[in-house]
Amino acid sequence: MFIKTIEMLSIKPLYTCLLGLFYLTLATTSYASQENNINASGANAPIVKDNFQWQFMADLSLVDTQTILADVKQTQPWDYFQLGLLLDISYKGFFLQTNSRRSSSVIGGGEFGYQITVQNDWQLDVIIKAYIQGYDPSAIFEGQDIPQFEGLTDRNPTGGIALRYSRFFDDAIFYIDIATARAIDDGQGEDARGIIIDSFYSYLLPYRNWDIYLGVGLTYYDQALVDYYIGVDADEMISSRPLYEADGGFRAQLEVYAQYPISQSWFFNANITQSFYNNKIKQSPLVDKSQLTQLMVGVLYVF
Amino acid sequence: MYSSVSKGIALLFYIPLITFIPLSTAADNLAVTEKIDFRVQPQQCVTLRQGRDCFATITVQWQKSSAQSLCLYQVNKKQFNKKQLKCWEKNQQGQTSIEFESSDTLTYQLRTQQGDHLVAQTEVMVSWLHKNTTRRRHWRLF
Repeated sequence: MFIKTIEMLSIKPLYTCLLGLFYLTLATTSYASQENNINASGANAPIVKDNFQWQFMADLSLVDTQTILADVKQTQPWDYFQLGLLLDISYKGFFLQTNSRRSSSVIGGGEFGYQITVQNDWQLDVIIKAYIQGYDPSAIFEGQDIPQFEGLTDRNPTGGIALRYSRFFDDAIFYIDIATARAIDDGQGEDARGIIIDSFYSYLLPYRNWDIYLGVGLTYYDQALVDYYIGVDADEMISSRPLYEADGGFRAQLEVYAQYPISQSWFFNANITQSFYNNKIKQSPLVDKSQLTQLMVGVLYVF
Repeated sequence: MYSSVSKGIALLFYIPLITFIPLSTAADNLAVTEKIDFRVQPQQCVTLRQGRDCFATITVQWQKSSAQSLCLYQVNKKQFNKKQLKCWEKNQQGQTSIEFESSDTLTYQLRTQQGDHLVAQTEVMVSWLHKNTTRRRHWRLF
């Protein structure tokens, strides 16, 4: 299997730029941190890290989702249902949190982290999470008889460890993760390693009892990771699946998410996410879409 | 596909309430001793987070056997304010809709026009899904 190992020194121009921006932000914030140390007893003193808090929710949703993979669709009735348990715990700066807006699986979408520093309007965390879901080509081929996936080796999920900078505004939040990520290859090839830069801005628009969140996100995926998922190695070539080596990729997202309280324990939620990948990914024989629309409506029970 | 689910936004508990206040036990001095049927629906307004204003359209109904001139008041016991919402002249019954907007539980009172005696009262409770933390923001990112 053809997998390129990314060397940290060969940083691409885009994330060089983003890293530079991040460095400037850190430079500014470290200055603020110095001020905090000077005025430790004043109004600008750092906020104490979170003590023990928890929240547990159960989620039942209807989902209409798409994938970039060629011809892959939701086919079975249960493909449209999502049942999940969402657990959030925080203790002495350590936290485990799930993204209730996007994921309902027991593990997927969860992230484990530690708050390095918590300030009034910004925060720096180190986190571990799964950034890319894998897929099982043999299951796709057997279930939907799509020839491009016949005999293809499994694509495992990509996990990563990241530095997350979050900035808090009155009704909005911005975060950026700079992650070093790895997909463990269980074939004879090497693991796919690379950088992921994931950023998201979410703005809260309260309307009567509704909470409406407008979100926009931009994510960069390293070439080795993109190639691991949608590339075709020499030993994977067949007539319907020519050799293909992918480039690094971008994903932009627009999202509207809304919550409405039904009772003291239940709330209704709905989400629409439009994702735009760089158009070049459609050159892969495994891909036929560069834009995805995902819809979700459901209810959550708060314990 | 999803339209059937959107009805789930159904909102608030519409628990009918019949408030029979024997006037002899009311807090204020009362001139009359007959019972009154005083209903406020819904009786509970749920918001996503503690401390946030809750919005609801509240239907208020009352009925009694003899005609009387009554006024409806909205009382916020936390803020010690009382606001007159509507009055009825010599009626045996009354009905009105009001736009509820409060982060606190509010009390609705029927009082006599003459003498301002309390005739009946009930509450619309404000409850919430997520408790507010002392922190400026919640620790959950999502």
